[in-house]
Amino acid sequence: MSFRRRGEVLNSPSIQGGSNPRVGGPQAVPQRGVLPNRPGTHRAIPGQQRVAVPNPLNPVKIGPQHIQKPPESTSDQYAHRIGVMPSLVTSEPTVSTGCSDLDKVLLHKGLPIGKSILVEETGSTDFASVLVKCFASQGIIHNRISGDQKQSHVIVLGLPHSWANELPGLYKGSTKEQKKAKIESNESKISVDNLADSTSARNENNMKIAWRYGLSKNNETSKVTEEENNKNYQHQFDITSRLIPSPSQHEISFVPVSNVHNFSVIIAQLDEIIRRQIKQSPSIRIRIAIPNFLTPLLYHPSCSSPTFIFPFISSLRTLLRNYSNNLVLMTSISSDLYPSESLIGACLLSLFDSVVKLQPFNEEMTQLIEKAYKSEPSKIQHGLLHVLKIPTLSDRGMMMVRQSEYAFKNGRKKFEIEEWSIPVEDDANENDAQTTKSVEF
Amino acid sequence: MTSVQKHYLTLFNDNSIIPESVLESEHPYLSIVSHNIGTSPFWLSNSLIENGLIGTASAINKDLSPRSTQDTNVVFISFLNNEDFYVSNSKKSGIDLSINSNFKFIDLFSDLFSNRLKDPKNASRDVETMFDEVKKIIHDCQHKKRIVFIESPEFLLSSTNLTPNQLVKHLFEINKFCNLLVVISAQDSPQFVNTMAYEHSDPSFKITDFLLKLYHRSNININMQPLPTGRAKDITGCLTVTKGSRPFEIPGLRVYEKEYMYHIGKELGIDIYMR
Repeated sequence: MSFRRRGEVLNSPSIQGGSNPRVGGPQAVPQRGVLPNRPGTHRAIPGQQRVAVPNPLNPVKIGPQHIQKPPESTSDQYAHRIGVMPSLVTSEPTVSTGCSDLDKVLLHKGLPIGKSILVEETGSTDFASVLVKCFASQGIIHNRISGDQKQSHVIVLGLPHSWANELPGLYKGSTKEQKKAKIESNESKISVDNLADSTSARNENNMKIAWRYGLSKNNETSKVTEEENNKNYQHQFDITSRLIPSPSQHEISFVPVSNVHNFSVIIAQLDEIIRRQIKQSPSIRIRIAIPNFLTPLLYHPSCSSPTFIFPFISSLRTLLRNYSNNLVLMTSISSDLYPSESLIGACLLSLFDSVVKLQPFNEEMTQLIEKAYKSEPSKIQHGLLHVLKIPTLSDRGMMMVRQSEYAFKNGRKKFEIEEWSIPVEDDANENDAQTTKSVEF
Repeated sequence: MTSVQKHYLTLFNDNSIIPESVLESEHPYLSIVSHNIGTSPFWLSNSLIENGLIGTASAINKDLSPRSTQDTNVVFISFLNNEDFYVSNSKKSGIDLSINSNFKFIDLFSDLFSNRLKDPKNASRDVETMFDEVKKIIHDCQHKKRIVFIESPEFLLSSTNLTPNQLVKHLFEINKFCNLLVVISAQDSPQFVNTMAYEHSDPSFKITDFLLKLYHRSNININMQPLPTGRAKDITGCLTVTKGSRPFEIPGLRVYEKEYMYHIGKELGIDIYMR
């Protein structure tokens, strides 16, 4: 006889530390039915894994030396590395950039580890910073998913520590979605009420499904791990919210560049941090973020010389290649300071593994789009996104330049990139007004 | 629907890519492979390496048969990529560069600014030391038939105080140690090649000057660029083969001047069409 309320959560801390110490989780919940591995019971039970019965004619060898390990599949390789998936094109280990649409544009479903991306931007806007912040936030979130082992670290170049407080937090959905999620989370908790519903449904299912499907339980577990990994691979960020709690110095490091004239000093600092992090956790992913690269606000005037820029970027590229299992790099730069048509712009293009360019619309175009989408303001785009280089594929000689094929819009929900098409102005009313006169043919 | 006939790439009138006569000649020859944004020559350099080492070029010409003796050394010098980039990708074309004793990779990318050229503003002497080492490696090669590739040497002009004349001098000296020197260089205009740049310290002027001097000395030029009309789904770019300003001093051998269109598939399958 139970004295608990129907809605009471069984594994809540108050109960765990209370009068019934055995109740600790879903496995500890008393269930009716045959106990597994009870001596003498060898019959296969629907929904349960079959226990191997020793057969004198065909003895089963027990011991670790006789257990044949199945070959590790690609999904298993990435299962223990949170936020890493094989590239859709080249199967290289890939991490998300923090923007799902940019991941799609890069074709790999992210940025392959050991590669870099440059985000160029024309004009006085700063959309590129949104991408860099999401890139950094994604690293922090990956680190927070698994509490015990350090999964990710972020290194920021050139900005003060306060930048960490500006990183966007996770998008929790609209108010409706948030309410729905709350209900779902309550339902997933183990309470007497929920158990009564779920056990009857589960038993019914077990009866319906043939026992042989129970054998594939291991596969199911690996599928669940894979799905979980997929779920943790990329997140959606809300740029109006902030990452709470703010990233600590264990999660993010800052390398100053002001008053540094020599690129080798910066590279040495980066190398030291990377070594330290890898020593702590060899499979760690380190994200280097360089927002507003070479802006006169942060960098010394001597840094704009080609004898600083090229050796510095080349050395960064060397770091990426040397730590090709750990490092990824995202940099943003103003195209007005260093246009693609200049030598510096072209050299940057050859030194970075992938390059995208943001070109916000001018005033005239913005007005046209606002007019075209006046009934659907959510469709208003903010500019064009040009793809100049894609990791690995461009290096192999494939022509991956896509000019004016994508448009971007920055919203609270996410930074969206979609295929660009010129909006059609709806002049139906005006045309109707003009054609009211009778026309003679 | 008509289908376009595929072709095999040949550079010379004897239907070869790197003729045996060039490797046996006493004269050193120079070739320039130039490319633009979006048309990396990685696949071509891989095929040229394969052709130099074993005589075939499986990706671009299936008519070529392997040489009876593998007596050619191929040395690849890169300022832009490390050895792993070429070795890992070469396996797809059926040749494992990591175990081929005739192939040598000189990595001038990985420790260029951390070890070799610590002061880019005053790098002339360090560059000289670096090229002396390169020359020694080429000189010590086992075979007398040698092909040397050098990728993105113009990078030194934009990142250091090296003058175009100094770089040209180093390359010509390297050329003396080999039968064929292939210089792989970016040639986007006006970024790299800008004939309107007159300031001697301007990197654009330096690169333009360097390339023009090289073209006056080359024997065969290969240029790759994307379609002028923009991206196409079935065409990656145009490849143009032209003879250089110096003829080959081999009787009967001449450059097969042609223009091709090519397409690179996802698995690095290359289709070549005559234009």
